[in-house]
Amino acid sequence: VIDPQPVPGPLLLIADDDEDILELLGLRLELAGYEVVRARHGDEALRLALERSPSLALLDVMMPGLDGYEVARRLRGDDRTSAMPIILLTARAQASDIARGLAAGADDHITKPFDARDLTERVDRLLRTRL
Amino acid sequence: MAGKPPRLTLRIASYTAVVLLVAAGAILWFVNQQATTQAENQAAARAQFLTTVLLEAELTARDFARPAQARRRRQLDRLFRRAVQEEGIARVNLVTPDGVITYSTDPAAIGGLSHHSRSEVAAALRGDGARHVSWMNIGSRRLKVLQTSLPVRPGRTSGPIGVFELYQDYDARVASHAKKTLYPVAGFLLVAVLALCAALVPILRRMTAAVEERNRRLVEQAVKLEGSLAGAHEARSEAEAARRAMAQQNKRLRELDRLKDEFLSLVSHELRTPLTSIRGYLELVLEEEGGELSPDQRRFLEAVERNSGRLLRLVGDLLFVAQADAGRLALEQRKVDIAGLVAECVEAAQPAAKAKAIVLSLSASPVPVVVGDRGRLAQVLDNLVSNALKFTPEGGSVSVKTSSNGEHIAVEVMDTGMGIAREDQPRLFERFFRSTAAARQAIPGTGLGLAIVKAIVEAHSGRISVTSTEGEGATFRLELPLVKHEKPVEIMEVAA
Repeated sequence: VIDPQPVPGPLLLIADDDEDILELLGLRLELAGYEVVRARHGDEALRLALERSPSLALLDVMMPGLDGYEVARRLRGDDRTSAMPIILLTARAQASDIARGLAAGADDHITKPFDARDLTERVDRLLRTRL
Repeated sequence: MAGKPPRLTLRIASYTAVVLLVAAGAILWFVNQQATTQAENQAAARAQFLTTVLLEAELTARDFARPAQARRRRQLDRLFRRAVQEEGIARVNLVTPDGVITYSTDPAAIGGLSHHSRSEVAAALRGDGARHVSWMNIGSRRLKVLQTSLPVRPGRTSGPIGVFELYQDYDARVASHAKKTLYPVAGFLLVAVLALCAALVPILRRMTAAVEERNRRLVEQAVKLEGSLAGAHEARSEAEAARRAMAQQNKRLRELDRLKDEFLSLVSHELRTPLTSIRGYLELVLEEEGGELSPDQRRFLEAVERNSGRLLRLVGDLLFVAQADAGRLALEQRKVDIAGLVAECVEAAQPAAKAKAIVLSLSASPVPVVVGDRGRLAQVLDNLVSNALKFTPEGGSVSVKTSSNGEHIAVEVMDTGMGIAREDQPRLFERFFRSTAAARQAIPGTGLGLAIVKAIVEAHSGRISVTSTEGEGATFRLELPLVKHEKPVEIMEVAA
């Protein structure tokens, strides 16, 4: 259904334990012209981050096993991924949650439910500042 | 304790009586001394009188030369009898300078020696006649006597020829005289003591009454103090128990609060995640990423989208109210141009007003900036305006007005809607409260909107109020305080 882009854009790692949201995120980002690699839990996200070296990681906070904060912390702690922009995706947008995300090393956060345009804008902005 | 006062009076009275009696005794002793001395002096003077006036003319040197013979003795007996019998004189002796008794009213003593020593007799001859009290046997009686020894000088110029010894019955001549003085004095003293006691009793009684009264008060105070001490102790232990209970309750409440927070955060997450999917995919479909939609399909899906939006707002409102309840509303503190915000809000609501043919007007006078959370204040204004539109029938009007009085700025939202019943007004800002009119007419709403408005306004130290006449519309008035000093423009989170 979705037309393949002639030139694949930057590779993004997305991680969420909710299959539907993972798919939704993937579709939105692919529609915006990005290439996407999907992880269903924290361990997979960490593995894929090392294997595929994505340009940016979009991590859901509430995941079984390693949660988004922990994955962000480990990515920051690893030399190979320490410079990777990280966006946390959370259903809880209280000040304390945001502060916790920043402390774990996230660059930005997006609250669920997200606005498709807001999502791509934030991703674009972070990638631009990193380049 | 009841037996004490009389004992006290008795004690003081007895002390006083003892002191008075001792004093009376001392006075009596002194008076007795004086009276006795006086009586002795009188007795001595009598002896002197007897020798000088009575005897000296009658006695001759012969009377002292040798013991008196029978005839002379009878003469002398006669001379002295009256005195002996009537004057209480126990015995009279005539003694030579050598101490020999030449005559005595006691015939047995004649010819014997005076029981005075020679030196005493000599002293008596010189006129230094001793006077003393002694005991002597008169016949079978042992008698206390006052004994006086005096020189006898027949001629005025000649020397003494002998000694005249006079033994006066002490009791009759001295003691009885002394008693004549003593008894009235004693009587007087007795009367005086009694009178004094009588006078003293009421005084004492008053004094002891005062003392007792003070005692009683002291005892009362002590009892009261004891009582209040016990009370204080009791109060302290009660307060301690209350504090413990409170601490326990606080702990339980904190635990409940924590559970509520956890629950809310869970619910919010669990509801938001599926809503995210619903709205996300719906958006894709409506964008026709999944293929072209028929007008009906689009209309139906738009209804789905509207309602998913309502559900999302409800979740958000619930979470918001819970946070406000917990005092955890995080507000930005920035300068906010309320007039501008009101204008934006009214502009945004114009399509909805037009849809109901409601005239939505704004009369905004420029107002000073306030400090607060722009997003939250916009939420308040949106809420008030959308409420007004919701409860105003088609063809009505809603007007928004801003004003300022230097203390605060005010925003009023007036509508010509159904109004709010008087009995509903006090509860209007309570959570989940829905007016009877709204419920009756099945106007949709969760009853959270005004509760959120109130929470936000109060977090800004402002006030929200309503005036309404049922059937004629309502006016909501929002007041926000002006800050006197300029606050630095920076993000400050005020989380209680």
